[in-house]
Amino acid sequence: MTQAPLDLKSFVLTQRPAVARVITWQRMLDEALRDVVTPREWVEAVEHLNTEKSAALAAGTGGLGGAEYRQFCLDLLESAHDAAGIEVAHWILKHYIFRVPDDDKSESFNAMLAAWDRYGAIRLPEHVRLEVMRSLYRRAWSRVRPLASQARRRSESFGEWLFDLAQLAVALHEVSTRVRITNRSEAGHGRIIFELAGGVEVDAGGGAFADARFAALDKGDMAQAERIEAAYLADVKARVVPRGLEVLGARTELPGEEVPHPVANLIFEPDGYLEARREEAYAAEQLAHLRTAATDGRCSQETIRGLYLEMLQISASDSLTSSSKRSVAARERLRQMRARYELPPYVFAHLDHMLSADDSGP
Amino acid sequence: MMACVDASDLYLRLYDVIIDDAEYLQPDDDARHMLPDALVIGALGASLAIFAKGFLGKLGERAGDGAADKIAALFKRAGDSGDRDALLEALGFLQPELPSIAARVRSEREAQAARIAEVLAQRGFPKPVAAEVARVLLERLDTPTREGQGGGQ
Repeated sequence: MTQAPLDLKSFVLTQRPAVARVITWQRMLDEALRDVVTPREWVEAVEHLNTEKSAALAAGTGGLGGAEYRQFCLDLLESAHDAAGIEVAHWILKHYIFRVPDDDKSESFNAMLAAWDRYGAIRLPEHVRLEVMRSLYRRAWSRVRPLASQARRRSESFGEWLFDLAQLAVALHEVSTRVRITNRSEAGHGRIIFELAGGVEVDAGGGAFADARFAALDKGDMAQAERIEAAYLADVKARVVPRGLEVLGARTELPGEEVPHPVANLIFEPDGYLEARREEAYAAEQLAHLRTAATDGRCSQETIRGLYLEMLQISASDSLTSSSKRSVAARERLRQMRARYELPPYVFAHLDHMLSADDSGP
Repeated sequence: MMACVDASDLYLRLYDVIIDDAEYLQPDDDARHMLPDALVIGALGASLAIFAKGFLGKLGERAGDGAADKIAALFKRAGDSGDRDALLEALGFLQPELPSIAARVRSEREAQAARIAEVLAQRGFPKPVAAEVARVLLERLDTPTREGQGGGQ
């Protein structure tokens, strides 16, 4: 018996199903509509799916082709006003608007931002747009800590350990090069910051524009400096200023200062920005440790074998120190090495057990 | 009178919880280099000072005059200056008493975890990480045996 077609939009907005279910429905719909060329074929494809699956699909009247379906997605985005709706909006944006391939695991934040200009016509509620941007940012960084933990705790062989380190290295490289919210001024150049309405600031960059403006200011020629600013204003607006925001003024910043990425001011409250900076700094340290461990040759079997002798020496050294204290110091050192990817977890387990069993009286 | 025991195993089980995320303790400036040990021990000491403060009254009843204050002072010294010996000594006094206060620790775990998380967040941990570390620290204090040590968590 054919089920009555389900209005997907109403169902999602009223029932708030799990995102995975909505995604499944949409993929089924996408698959079913792939070869559809007429409204009648679309209706038949939808009815076919209705009879096959318990979850129904967006129906509506016949004639929903590609453009209409896209409008349906946009309508759904406009209606999103809570976490579940925003999750759906996020997925729709990614796969149906920005066309990020399913096998693209990087969720490039900056690529998403670059696409905003192309889709400026999307009428998104402000809170939805900002929440989706925050979500995109956090998702990119949320992989780092679990992968770091895995690299420190999981492996039972040298090969597994190298694989875990490689996964971590890839994730760290992606976030450090594509999803940063802080920029460091180039040495030798000042930066021009345009101040926008609502407390938002946009970095107009340095280089020739900044040099010309500084040169004018150094000569005391304020009028020339203002002309230079005005000449660049239209270009800056087109490049980096979000649509519709008014430019209130400009200021300069000294070379070498670390300044927030202009988007950070858009999407984060001050507390959120602080937390994001902490995550960036943590990830930078992990990358530094990983690079050190790799370039110093610590990620090699020969080095790991040598650690056994090194631990024996630490354990036997300093006869004036109690055996217990030597053992604690050595086992502490093992943990530090593991945390810095200098020691595989399976070797750590063996060495730590050896040192704890060695904890006998002098 | 409170007995002071060798609490090195307990110390290392707690150290395990902090060390992997310890880079959050680094100052947010260009001066950051290798993470000083004192920062790690200081964070652990400050967290345990919060824990001990919550239950010192109960400890004081059992241990007699001065003992609870001594533990508090040792944890504070560890938290302020990263003094490992002070931390080990404080844990040495605390460890024998943990089973007797375990029930109360469990009943007040959420509140204690929040207070410890606040201390860690002040020292640089992001709030979600601070909350998780605080929770695991309390779990480890609830089961202060050799179980699960050495090979990691």
